Amino acid sequence: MKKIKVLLVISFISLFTTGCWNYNELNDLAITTGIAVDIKDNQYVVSYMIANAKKSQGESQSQEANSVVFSGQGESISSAYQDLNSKVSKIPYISHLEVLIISEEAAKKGVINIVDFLMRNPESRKEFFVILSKGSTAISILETLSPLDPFPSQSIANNILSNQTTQSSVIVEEFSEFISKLLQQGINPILSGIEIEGNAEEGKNQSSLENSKPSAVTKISSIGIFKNDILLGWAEKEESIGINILRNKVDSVLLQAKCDNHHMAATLTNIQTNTEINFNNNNPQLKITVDAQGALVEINCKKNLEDTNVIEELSSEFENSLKNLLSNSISLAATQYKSDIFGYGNMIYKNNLTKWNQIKDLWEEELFPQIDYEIKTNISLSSKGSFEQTILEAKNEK
Amino acid sequence: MKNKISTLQVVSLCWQLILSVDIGIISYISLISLKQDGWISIIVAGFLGIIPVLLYLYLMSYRPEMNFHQLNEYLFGKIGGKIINSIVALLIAFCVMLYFNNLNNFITSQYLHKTPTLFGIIIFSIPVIYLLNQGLTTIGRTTFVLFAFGLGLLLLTVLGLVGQIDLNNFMPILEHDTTNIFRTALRIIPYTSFSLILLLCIPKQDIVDSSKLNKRVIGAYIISFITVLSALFFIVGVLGADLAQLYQYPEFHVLKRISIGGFIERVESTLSLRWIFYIFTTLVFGLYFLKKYIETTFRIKKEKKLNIISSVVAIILLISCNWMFSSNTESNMLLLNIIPIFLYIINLGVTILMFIKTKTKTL
Repeated sequence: MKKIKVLLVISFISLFTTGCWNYNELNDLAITTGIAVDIKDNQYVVSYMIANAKKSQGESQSQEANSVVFSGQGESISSAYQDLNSKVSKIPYISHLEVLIISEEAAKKGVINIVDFLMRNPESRKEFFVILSKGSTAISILETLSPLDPFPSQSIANNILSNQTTQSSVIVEEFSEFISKLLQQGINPILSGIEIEGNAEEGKNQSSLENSKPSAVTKISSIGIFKNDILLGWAEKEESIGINILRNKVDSVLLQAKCDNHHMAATLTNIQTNTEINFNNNNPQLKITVDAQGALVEINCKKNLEDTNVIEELSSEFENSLKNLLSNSISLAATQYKSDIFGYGNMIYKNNLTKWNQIKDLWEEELFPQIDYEIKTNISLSSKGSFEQTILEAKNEK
Repeated sequence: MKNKISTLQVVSLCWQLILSVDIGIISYISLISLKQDGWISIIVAGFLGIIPVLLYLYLMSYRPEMNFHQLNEYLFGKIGGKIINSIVALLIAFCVMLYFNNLNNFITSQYLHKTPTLFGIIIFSIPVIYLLNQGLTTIGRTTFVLFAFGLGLLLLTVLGLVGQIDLNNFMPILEHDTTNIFRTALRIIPYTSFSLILLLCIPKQDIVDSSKLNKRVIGAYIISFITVLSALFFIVGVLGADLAQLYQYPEFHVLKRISIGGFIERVESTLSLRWIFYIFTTLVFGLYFLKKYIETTFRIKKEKKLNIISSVVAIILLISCNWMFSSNTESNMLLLNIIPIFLYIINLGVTILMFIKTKTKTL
């Protein structure tokens, strides 16, 4: 009798613990891997890139796209989302979101209104990349098909990751890190920009992938500079490299320099940037030291590379070139945009709280734009590549 | 043998009683008050909180054959003892509802946001009430098994997060003044140390090898406080205090960052099971405390009758927790400001009164 009772109880419990209350079949979900936010007629346009379109499930014709983009418009992100939902036959599921693209226009209006919805949503994992669209709408970035990846969002995410190691002008910023920078004192966030190279309209069509050269490709370029949550402007490639070096977020850099009115280049690795901030009365003074190891990759002037004095001379040229690069980056952030994107204010806050409490109201508008800085660069050219000598010098010796 | 429990099972119970508030309560109190300095208040709470624990151990040893309710009747007389027992029972009932409310809020906000709360309450109540009716020995065994599972999940959590800590997130140190730190510590103690009053419902003579009890309970207390500290350490170290403050359950969000070997990912739902185990144990033991109160106060000898009454009380309490607070904002405000005061007055007040009475009775 007791066994029967126990069995009955277990059966009763198992009826309710199968998780069927709000169970959703995978087919009922619209798996969203990319979101784009634009502004149109003073309203938000939110676009979702849905990965499990018919083609990707192997049920459709060969010309149909793997992914599909739906858009909704509204005064807020949630009302735009509601409008979008009315057009999608499945339930949008953002747990697998890879990338959030914010248009330049939306970012200039302020991103806090955009990010709150995603932060609050319990489905989103907050580990997707955030990126700005430059020169085109965010939706057109999301619609541009890639010959290398099945979904544009995946292509963008892979592009960001690979560029981080090969190019030093890219910021890899996850959503939660971006929010964290928005919240912290004495630092403003920055985001990478992405633009379309080629014909954006043709880039949306599957037919553009049938040629050996696609009609349009997305290209990671520039860094968007924010002050609080508003986009102020862009840093170009060289300045972006300088920003990354100053933030100590660089694996390797290809540095250009002049050599007797010709070009030379070196790859810098093991880059370590140390920053000290001291105060002279209430005036901050930055002392930045950058140490790196260099490997010569190109030299078009006539120099005897077997002479150690020449190597020191070349190192010195590269050091000056790096110094100029970093100086331009600081000037851009401090003088032009008055935005502390390097976190020097945050450094003062964390290491000298008393001083920070005295100066925090003056930091962004007065102290940081006029900051005194001294940059010291040490580059040790330890490798010359496969050649021991320049071609011109070797030809001369003959 | 039905009402015997081993020291090891008591130790695992202590661990789970203290850590049951690790989710949603301790992190909320320390982060909202002190941000990145919250870990200091936990250390202070750990040191100060040992005092009530020592009081509880003393009371357990005073008359080893008596549980908390019998001891009160012995110390204060039948009527006085019943009054005190009733007040403490009301407090424990409130705490049971509070912890269950916290668990339901966690489950519905993080896992099952489309499922009605009442549904979750009913499902969770069934094993709680079933275990309640099984006796102390079964409860002890279940507690130990859940402790072992929870420990494994904790180790995985530590392994997955240890490489992601940024020590800069703890700067600046001591941004908040010491008064604020002490105040926050005093808010944390009622939720952690005071929960060990539940141990008093077990007469010491029902604990196997009880000669080692004091040392082991203190050891469990210290280690569980270190675990609470490490949880906050990971939250601030990985997320940063500014971001962690915004989340409703930052300890759950930090689990989303775990990636072990590049392939163990998206395991936050599994790893957060240990909090469910801890709160489950606390609920069962809190209800067991109330069961013993009913047995002692109303002199109910028949086990079947006692089980029925305690099950009905449990159902009422567990279902009522759904209407305990009108919103999260209200519950957070009460958790931070009002509830600790009640816990001090009743829990600590009664314990000190009992301690004084034992001394005067001896004289």
